[in-house]
Amino acid sequence: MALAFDEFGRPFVIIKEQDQKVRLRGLDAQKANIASGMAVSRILRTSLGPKGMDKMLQSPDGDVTITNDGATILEKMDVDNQIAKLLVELSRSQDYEIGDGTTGVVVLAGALLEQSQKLLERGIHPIRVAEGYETASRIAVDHLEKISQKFDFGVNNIEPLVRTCMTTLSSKIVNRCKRSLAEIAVKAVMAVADLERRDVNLDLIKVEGKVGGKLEDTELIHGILVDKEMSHPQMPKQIEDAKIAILTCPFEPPKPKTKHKVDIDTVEKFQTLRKQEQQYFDVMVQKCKDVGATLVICQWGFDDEANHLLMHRNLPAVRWVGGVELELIAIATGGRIVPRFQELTPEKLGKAGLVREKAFGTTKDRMLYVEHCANSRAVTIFIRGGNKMIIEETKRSIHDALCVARNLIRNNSIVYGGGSAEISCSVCVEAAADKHPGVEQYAIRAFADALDSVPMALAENSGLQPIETLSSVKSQQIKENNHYCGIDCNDAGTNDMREQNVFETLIGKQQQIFLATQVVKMILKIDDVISPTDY
Amino acid sequence: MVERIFKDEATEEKGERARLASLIGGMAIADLVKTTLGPKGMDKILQSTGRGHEVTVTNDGATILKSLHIDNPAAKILVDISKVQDDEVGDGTTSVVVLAGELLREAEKLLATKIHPMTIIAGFRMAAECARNALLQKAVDNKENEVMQRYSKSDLMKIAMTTLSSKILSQDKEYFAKLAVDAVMRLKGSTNLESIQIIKKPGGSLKDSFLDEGFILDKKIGVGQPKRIENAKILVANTAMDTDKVKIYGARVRVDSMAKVAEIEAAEKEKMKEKVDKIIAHGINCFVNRQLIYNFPEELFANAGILAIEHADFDGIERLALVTGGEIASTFDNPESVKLGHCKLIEEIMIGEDKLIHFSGVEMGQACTIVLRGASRHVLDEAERSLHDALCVLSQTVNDSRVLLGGGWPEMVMAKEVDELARVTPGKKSHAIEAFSRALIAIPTIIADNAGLDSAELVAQLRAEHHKEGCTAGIDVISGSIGDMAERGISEAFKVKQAVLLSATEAAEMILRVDEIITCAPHCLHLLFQGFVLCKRMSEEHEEQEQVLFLDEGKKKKLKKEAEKAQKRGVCYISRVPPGMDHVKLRQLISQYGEIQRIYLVPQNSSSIDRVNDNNKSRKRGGGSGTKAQAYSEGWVEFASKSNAKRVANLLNGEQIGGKKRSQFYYDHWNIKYLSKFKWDNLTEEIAYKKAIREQKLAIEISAAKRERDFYLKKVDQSRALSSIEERMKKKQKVQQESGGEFSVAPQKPPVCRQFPQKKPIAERERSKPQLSKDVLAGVKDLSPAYADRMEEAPWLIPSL
Repeated sequence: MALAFDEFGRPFVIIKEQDQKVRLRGLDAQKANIASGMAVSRILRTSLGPKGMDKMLQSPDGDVTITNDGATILEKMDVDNQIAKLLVELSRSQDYEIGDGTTGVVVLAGALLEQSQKLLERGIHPIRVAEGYETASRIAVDHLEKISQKFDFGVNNIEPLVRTCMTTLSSKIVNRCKRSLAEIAVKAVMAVADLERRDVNLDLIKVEGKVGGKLEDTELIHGILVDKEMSHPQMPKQIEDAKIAILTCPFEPPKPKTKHKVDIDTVEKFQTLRKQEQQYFDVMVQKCKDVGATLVICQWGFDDEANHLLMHRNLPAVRWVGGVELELIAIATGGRIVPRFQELTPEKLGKAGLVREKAFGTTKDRMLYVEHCANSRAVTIFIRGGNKMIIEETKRSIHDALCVARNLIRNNSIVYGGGSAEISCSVCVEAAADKHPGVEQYAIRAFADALDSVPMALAENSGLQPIETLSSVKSQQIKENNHYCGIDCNDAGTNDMREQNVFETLIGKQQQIFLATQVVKMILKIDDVISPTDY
Repeated sequence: MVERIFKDEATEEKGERARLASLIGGMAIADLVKTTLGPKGMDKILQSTGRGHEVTVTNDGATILKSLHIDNPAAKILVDISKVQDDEVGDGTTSVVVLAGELLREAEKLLATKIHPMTIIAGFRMAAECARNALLQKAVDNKENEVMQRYSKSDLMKIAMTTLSSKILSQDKEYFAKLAVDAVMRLKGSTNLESIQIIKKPGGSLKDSFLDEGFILDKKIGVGQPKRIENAKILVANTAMDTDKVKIYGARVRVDSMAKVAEIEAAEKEKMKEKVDKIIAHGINCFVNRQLIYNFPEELFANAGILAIEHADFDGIERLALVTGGEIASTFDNPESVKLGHCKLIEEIMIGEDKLIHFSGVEMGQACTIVLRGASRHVLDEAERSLHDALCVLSQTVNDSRVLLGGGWPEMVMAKEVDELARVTPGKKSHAIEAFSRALIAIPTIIADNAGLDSAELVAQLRAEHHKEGCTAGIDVISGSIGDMAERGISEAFKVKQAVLLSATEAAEMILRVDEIITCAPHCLHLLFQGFVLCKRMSEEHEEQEQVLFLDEGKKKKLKKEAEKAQKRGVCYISRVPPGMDHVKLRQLISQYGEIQRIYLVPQNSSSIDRVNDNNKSRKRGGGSGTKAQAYSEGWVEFASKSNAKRVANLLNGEQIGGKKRSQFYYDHWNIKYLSKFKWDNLTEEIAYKKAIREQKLAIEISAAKRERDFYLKKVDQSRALSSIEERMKKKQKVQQESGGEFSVAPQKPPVCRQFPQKKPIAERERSKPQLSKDVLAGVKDLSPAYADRMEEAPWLIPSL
C-alpha cells in the first residue's frame, strides 16, 4: 500500500482502513485484469459458431438453463470479478443494441486482451496500445463498409431475410427446424414492420411458449394469445366477429382510495345499501351490453354475482389479464383501454374476427386466441417443445432472429459470415499497419491477429485444424481477391460464403468491433486496483 | 495464476468432466426407473420426509421422479421430460426416461472413441427422423375403416389393456380397460379428463370398482330433507348462503342500542329469507351450492321440501352443471331465464360405510364417475394413477386414432429401419445412427430382463423375425416367448410412442451439447462456506508446511498471521435461539460486547444434509412479505479473541436479553456457553468430510467405468486384428491356389470353441452316474478342466490373480 509521509517523516493514512485493503498497481494490475477478461472469453469461446457447444447453468435456486447464447450465459454466471463484469456488460449491450453476435463480441474482446498482453510485456505503453487499437478498429469498420453488399427485399420477397435469420439460428439448438423458425421470425417482423420509416417495434411481437408437442408445432399467430380462460366454465368457447370491451376496472363494488366508512345504524339504511349493491352489478353489466360489446376483457377479478350476471346476459368475459397483454390486445383489435364503466362508448371497442379457447394436453390448460384482428400489426409467436429448457432456449433464439431481421429492415447492408468478414478485415488492417509510423504499428498488427481468432475459434469448434484452415482461407482471399471466403463449418464443401448463404448484418459486425475495442481500451487504461481483502 | 471470476461458492466444470457428470447423472436416473418398465416391472416405495413420513407405492415413472430431490442438472432434464410426457400424453413416462438414458449410455461409448458430440447429435437426429418415419408408415389407422366404430373401440380396448398390464390393475385389466374405454367414449372426443370423476373408497376389492353413468357427489343429505327425489329439477349455484354480507367497501354496522342490533339482525334474516324464497321460486326441488349453507336457510329449504347440498367443491359443481345441463347461478332475480338442471332420480346410496348422493338418469352423459374400491389407501392411490394413465392415453387416441402393436414391436421396427440407414450413411455419423438403434433395442431387452426372461436370446430371436417383411412379432412377457402381437391384441397408441421417441432424443441431444457446467452459489450458507474455505486454507497451511516454503515471502507471512489470528479466536455455543432471531439481529446484539467473526445458526426441523434443500424451499414458498421467518434451533458465534468470548459467555448466560422494551426479545434469556478448545473448523469438519467422500466416490466410479470401457475396447481391437489376420490368410490361400495350382493347405488355426460347463439333463445323468465320481476325483487331484479353461480366457475373473 502506498504510504505518504508528512514533513516530519511520519506516515499517514490516505485510504480508509488502509491496512485491510489489497492493492495492485501498474503492469501487475493490467495483467491481472487481462487474465480475468481472458478467462471469461475462454468460457464463451467454445460456444461460437454453428458447431459450438452449450453451457449448462445452475441458478442459486437449482433451476437449470442450457444455452449457447453469450448474453444469457454471462448473465446467469454469477460473476464476481469486476473486469469479468465489464465483459458481461459488453455482451449485454450488444444484446440490447443488435440482439445477435453476443458471443462473438466477447471472444473478440478476449483476443484483443490476449494480444495486448504480449505488447505490454514488450514494454509498449498501454495508452499507445489503446490508441493503436482505436485506429485499427476504424480501419476495420471502414473496410467492412466497403465489402458489404446491399440486398433487396420486399413484402413479397422475403427470401434474403429468411436466409440471414437461418444463419443466426444455425448456431442454436433449434437448428433442426431453422428454416421454419426463420420464416416465422421474418413473417412476424414483416407483419409489424413500418417499411417507410424503416423501423420495427419488437414489442408488438409477443413470444409465448407452452411445454408439450414438438418444435415443429411452433406457429405464428396473426393475433394475440393470452394464457387465460373464460371466467365462467359455461361461457361460449368461440366468438366470431367479437366486439371487445377492454377494461381496467373490476366488476366489483367501488373501493375508493381515501379512507372512509359507511355506517349502518338503522334497518332502512341496511336495506337501501343492499339494493344499491345489487343495482351496482346490474348497471355495470348493462353498460357493457349497451355499447354492444360481445366480449369483455378485464384486468381485474370479478365478483361471483357479476360473473353469473355476465354469463346470464350472454356476455363472455376474461378476467385477470396482465397489463402488457391488455395493451397488446388493444393495439391488435384497435380498441381503447377503458378505465371506468362510464367512459365506455361503442368507438372504444376493439374488433376481432375470431376469439376462441383452445385446450392442450391431458391437463386443464387452456389458452385464448384472439385472431383476425382489425389491426393485424400485433402478432404472437407460439412456441411448443419437449421441455421447459428447450422452450426457453427457443425463445432466446427467436429473439435473436427477430433482432437480425429488424436490423436488416433498418439497414439492408450485409456482410458474409463464417469468419470471412473478420479475415478480410484482418488482411486489410495488417496492410494498413505497415504504412503507419510510430509505435501504434505494433498495436494495429496485434489487432489484425486478434481478428483472426474469431475464424480460428470457428474452425476449432467445427473440428477442423484451426491454424491450417485459417492460413489456407487467408491465402485464398488474398490470391483470388475474394472477400467472401470463410470457414466451412458445416462441411458443405465450399469456402465461398456466398454459395453457403451465410450472412450477417453489417451493423452487427461493426458494433461488435466498436464495442470490443471500447471495452478493451477501458480495461487497458486501468493501472490501479484497490479492493478489500477476502478476510 | 488466473484470477477467480466467479463468486466463492460457484463451481465450474469443463469439457470431459462436465460431460461425464451430466452423462452419469442422466444414466443414474434412467437406471433408477429402469426396473419399473414393462408388465413385469417392479414397484418402488417412496417415503416422504414431510410430516408423517407418508408412503407411496408406485411404478409410475413420473410419480417416482417427481418426488425425488435431485441435484444433478442433467438428471433434472430427464425428470422434466417425464413430467411433460405425463402432462401431454399421460403414459410412457418411464419409457421416455429409459430411452434417453440408453441414448446417453451409447453416446458415452462413442465419446470414448473420440467422436465429437456434434457428430453424434447429427447422427441421432437423422436416426430419430428415420425412426419416426418408420413408425408413421407402420401405424394403422382404423378410423377410416367401414366398420369404424366397432373396430376403433376394439383398438381402444387393446390399448387400454396394454397400458394397464404394467400397472397394479393388471389382474383385472380386462374389466378396467372396459371401464376406461366406456368413460372415454362418453367424452365424445374432448380431452378434458376433469369431467371424469374418480372417487376412491377403501374397502372391498379392486373388482368391486364400477363406472357410474350418472354422477356421484361425496356429500350427505341434510337432516329432515327428502332422501329420494324423482324427476329432480336442480339449481346449481355459487353464492354465499351464510349471512349475506354487504359488499360495499367500508360498510360497517354501528348502533347505539341492543334493540337496534336485534332489528338489524332481523333485517339480515329477512334478507336471507328473501333470497331463499327467490331460489324456491325457480320451482326446484334440489339446490346444490358451492359454498356453505347455514342452519337457517337449510331449515327453510327443508320446510319447502327441497334438498339442499352445501359445500360441493368447484370441480364437483362444474361437473354437476355439465351433467345435468344447468348453469351455475349466482343471482336469482330472473327465475324464468336461469337454466335448471334435470335428472330422473336423486338418491342416497351407500358405498362401503359412506353415504353418497347419486344423480341418475341425467340428460347429458358427458361426465361420469368411476368409483374405485380397494383394500388400502395405497392400493387405491396407485389404482387411480394407473387408471389416469389409461384414460389419458385413450382420450389422446380418440383424437389421433393411429395405433401400433406393443411388446417391443415398434422399437424393433424402428431399430431395423435405423440400422438400414446406418448402412447407407457415409461418414462418422453412421456410428451414432447405429448406436441409436442399439438404444432402441435396449427397451425390449429391459422389458424382458424385468420379467426374468433370457433377454439376449429373446431379442436375438425377435431381430431375426423382424427381417421378414410385415412381421408382427413382439415379446410376450406372460408366456415368455416371441409371439404375434396382432393376435394377442397388444396395441399401443402412436402418439405415445412418437412423443417418447422425440422427447428422449431431444433431451439426449440437449445433454450432449453441454460442455461446461456452471453452478451458482446457493443463496444461504454463505457464512458457513466462507468459514469452510478459510479453514481449509488454514489446515493446508498447518499440514503442508513444505508447500508454504514455495510461496513467496509476503504471502507466507500473511498466511501465518491469519493462522495466528485463528488461534486466538474463541467459539461460543448458543443452545436456544429465540423465535424471530436471525444472524443479522444476533450479530447486532452481541457485537456490542466484543468483535465477532462468524455466526452459524442451525435451521429448525432439518437435518444437516437437507439444509440446503430446505432453505431453498422455504425461500421459494415465501417470496413476498409476511411469511414466517426461519426458526433456528441452536447456533455458534465466533469471537475475535478467546478471552473476550469467555467473558461474554459468563456475562450474558442466564441474563435477560433486554434492550428496548418494545423489542421482540426483551423477555428472552441468553443461553450461551463458551466452548473451550473448540475451533470453527470442528463445525465445518462434517461438511468437508462428506464432500471429500463424495469426491472420492465419484472418482472411483469414473475410474471403474473407464477401466471397463478400456478393457472392452482392447478386446474389440484384438478381435478385429484376429479377423483381419484370418482374412489375409484366406486371401493368400486363394492367390496360391490360382497361381501355383499346387494344392497345399496352409496350417490354419482351428476356430476357438469355448465350452461352458453345463448341467446335463436328469435322464442322462442317471445313466452316467458312475462316471461322475471319476470326474470329482480328477477335480480333487488337479484343477478341473473347465476351471482351467475359464482361467485362460478370463483371468480378471479371479481376484487373486
